[in-house]
Amino acid sequence: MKPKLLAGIIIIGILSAGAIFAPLLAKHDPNKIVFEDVLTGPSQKHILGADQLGRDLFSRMLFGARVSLLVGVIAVGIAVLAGLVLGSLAGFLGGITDTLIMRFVDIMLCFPAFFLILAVAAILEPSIFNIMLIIGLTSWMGTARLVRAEILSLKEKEFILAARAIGLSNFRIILGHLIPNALNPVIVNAALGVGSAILLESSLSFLGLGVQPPQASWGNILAESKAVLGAAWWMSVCPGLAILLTVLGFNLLGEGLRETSNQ
Amino acid sequence: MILLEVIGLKKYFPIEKGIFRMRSGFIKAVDGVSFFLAEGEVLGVLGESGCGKSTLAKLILKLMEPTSGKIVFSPLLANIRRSVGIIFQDPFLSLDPKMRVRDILREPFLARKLKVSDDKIVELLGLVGLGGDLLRRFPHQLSGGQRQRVCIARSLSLKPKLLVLDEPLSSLDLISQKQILELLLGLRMKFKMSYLFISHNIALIREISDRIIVMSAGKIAEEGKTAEIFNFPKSGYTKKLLEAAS
Amino acid sequence: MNKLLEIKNLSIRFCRQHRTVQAVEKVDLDLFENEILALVGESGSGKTMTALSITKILPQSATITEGKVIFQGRDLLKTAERDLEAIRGKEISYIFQEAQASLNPVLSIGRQIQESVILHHQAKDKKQALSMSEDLLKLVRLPHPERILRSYPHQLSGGMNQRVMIALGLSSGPKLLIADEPTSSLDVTVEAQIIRMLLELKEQLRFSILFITHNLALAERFASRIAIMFKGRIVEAGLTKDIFSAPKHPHTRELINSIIRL
Repeated sequence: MKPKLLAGIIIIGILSAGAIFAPLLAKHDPNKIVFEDVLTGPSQKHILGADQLGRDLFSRMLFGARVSLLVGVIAVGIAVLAGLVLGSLAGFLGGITDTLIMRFVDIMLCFPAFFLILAVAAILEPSIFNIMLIIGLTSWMGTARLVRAEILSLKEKEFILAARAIGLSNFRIILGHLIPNALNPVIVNAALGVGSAILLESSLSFLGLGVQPPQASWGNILAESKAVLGAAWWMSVCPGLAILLTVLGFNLLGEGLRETSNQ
Repeated sequence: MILLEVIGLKKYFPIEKGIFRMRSGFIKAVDGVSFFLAEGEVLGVLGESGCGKSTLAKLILKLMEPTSGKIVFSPLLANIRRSVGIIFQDPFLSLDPKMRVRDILREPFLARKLKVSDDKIVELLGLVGLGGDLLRRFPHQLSGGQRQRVCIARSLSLKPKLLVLDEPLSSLDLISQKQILELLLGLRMKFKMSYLFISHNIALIREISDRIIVMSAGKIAEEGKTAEIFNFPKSGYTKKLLEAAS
Repeated sequence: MNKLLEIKNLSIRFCRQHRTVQAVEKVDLDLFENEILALVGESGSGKTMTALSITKILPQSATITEGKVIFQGRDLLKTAERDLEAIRGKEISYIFQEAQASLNPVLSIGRQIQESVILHHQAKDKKQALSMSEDLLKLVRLPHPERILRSYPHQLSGGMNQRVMIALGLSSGPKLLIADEPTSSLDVTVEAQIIRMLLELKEQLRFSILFITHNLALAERFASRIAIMFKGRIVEAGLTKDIFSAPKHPHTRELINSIIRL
């Protein structure tokens, strides 16, 4: 196995384990306010210290990981699904369908993505579900282009002609032959996409348009740390490092997959 | 009985030039071709690269629309996807790299919503001289000859009346060429199929064909029984081909 | 006759998906001056690996584990990379199956030939290079050389591109031309013309050809001696007429029986 791929899998594996087993690993209730612990530093009781409301930071980080990973994976899932469907329709059908879909992609790409997301997030009620949907529906264009290009070159291949010659329906050709063969670059792209989706979620939560307190997310922990930056370094360093590590993990995974699939 | 009659078939590809995609001319890939193919017959199509023989194959399989002219199918070929099979030159390109042999051979049945057992697929493999041990292999794990056999098995699964073979041996090694040629000759007897055998290889065409058409630049240069063409070639082009090969 | 090239006990190992494959095993081969030797084998028999090892242009995954390649008295496998660069393309030229892929698609034919003659110090200035290029194209019997010089590879047919490759290969006046399936992607009529031309050029310019092919019938028409390769080894070698009249190895017999004759 490629070292990058292995490193990516290990980082993501540890983070996912932390997120999945958060209720078991957290010694404290992440939302329980304890006045005597306000802004205490890392200690026996609170491994990563406590925040300005005396909540255990380690527990909040673990539950925050659930939010970040969930948002990242589901948002990218939505984007990949939308990209696959639209990209393969454009590539396979061609003609006017292709033109319409690809011009729509161009229009979507014209908007500065982050401001679009901000605008939509401001209109919609902030919730995890809406965040996933917004991020997913504003980041499918790259996948669509990728899939279309793959399908365009694949559909001229002889095995597609052979499939048509034995009487396979278009639906079966797209689903059985074209998409499986176009999937490699899409998977690589998706792994890289999870990293940016997690960054986006953190940015939105940081700006107060994402996950709403008291529910923990790395973004809003970071936002809360802003006020106490001088007094409690652990409150900004921990979520910052976690975001960095996660994005790094997914990028390594993506790069590793690319190297493996290019072999 | 005549299986197939091709009348004045033409296929022109437009050449587009410049940013406005103005039509600046045509490539006449198939330019007014007429011939017929009788039941049980092997018709050889001899020609060099770019003579339009592969386009002709795709037109007959209705994988492409002709510019003009028509192809009349006998009632025996009523369901063309079922009764006409095609084998391409490079078996590696005509097999989906992500599918196992077993799934490749199940596809023709799935396309018709038929149930198919592994026994049936092993039987198909047996027809082309392959063992059931290949069921779980991917195309890249097979040799060139084995791949072409899998392609032939896929075509046979539908019990076609006519096989269109587009340079089926050109990408193979000498020994596999000979073996696949013998397999094709045997299968033809067994299933009473007709072949439209397209090749640039004169010796091969002579070996397998009952009748031959020689194509050059989209047109038929000469047509006749195999013995006639080889013993008394009429067109200058055929003479040139024969001379180059001897 | 003098020996031009002598391959002794050559073994090449090849790494593929974490497995090592013995691509070439203890191959001995002699090539005399002004001779055509055909190295015949099925795909994967190691014939191309053997050819590429002569000037050490093997892919990275392959390593020469033992042996000698003696060309004009010196062992090329022990020669320094800098000296090898002087031999490649000058004393030993290669032509491959896909001529168009071997040419640079964005440079005109003229530019590519002129670069080659200047590189090999055959021409002193541009003007001389131009006239030499025209002569080379005439040598490989291309009509209207001045027009061809201005064309790009994609504008020429496969046969014309292969002639250009031969012209490029011969531009340095090599002692040895290694031709790896040079006509396999060409039509039979073009193949016949190119083979005939190579035979004539060989007599005219006096060089040797190592002809690599899977087509035993073509080797019979073209080469004076044949070596048969099978699974990395040379299983039989000899004069063409001896190989055909009295093949010794079973693989040779199988190959001969597979030829479909006109």
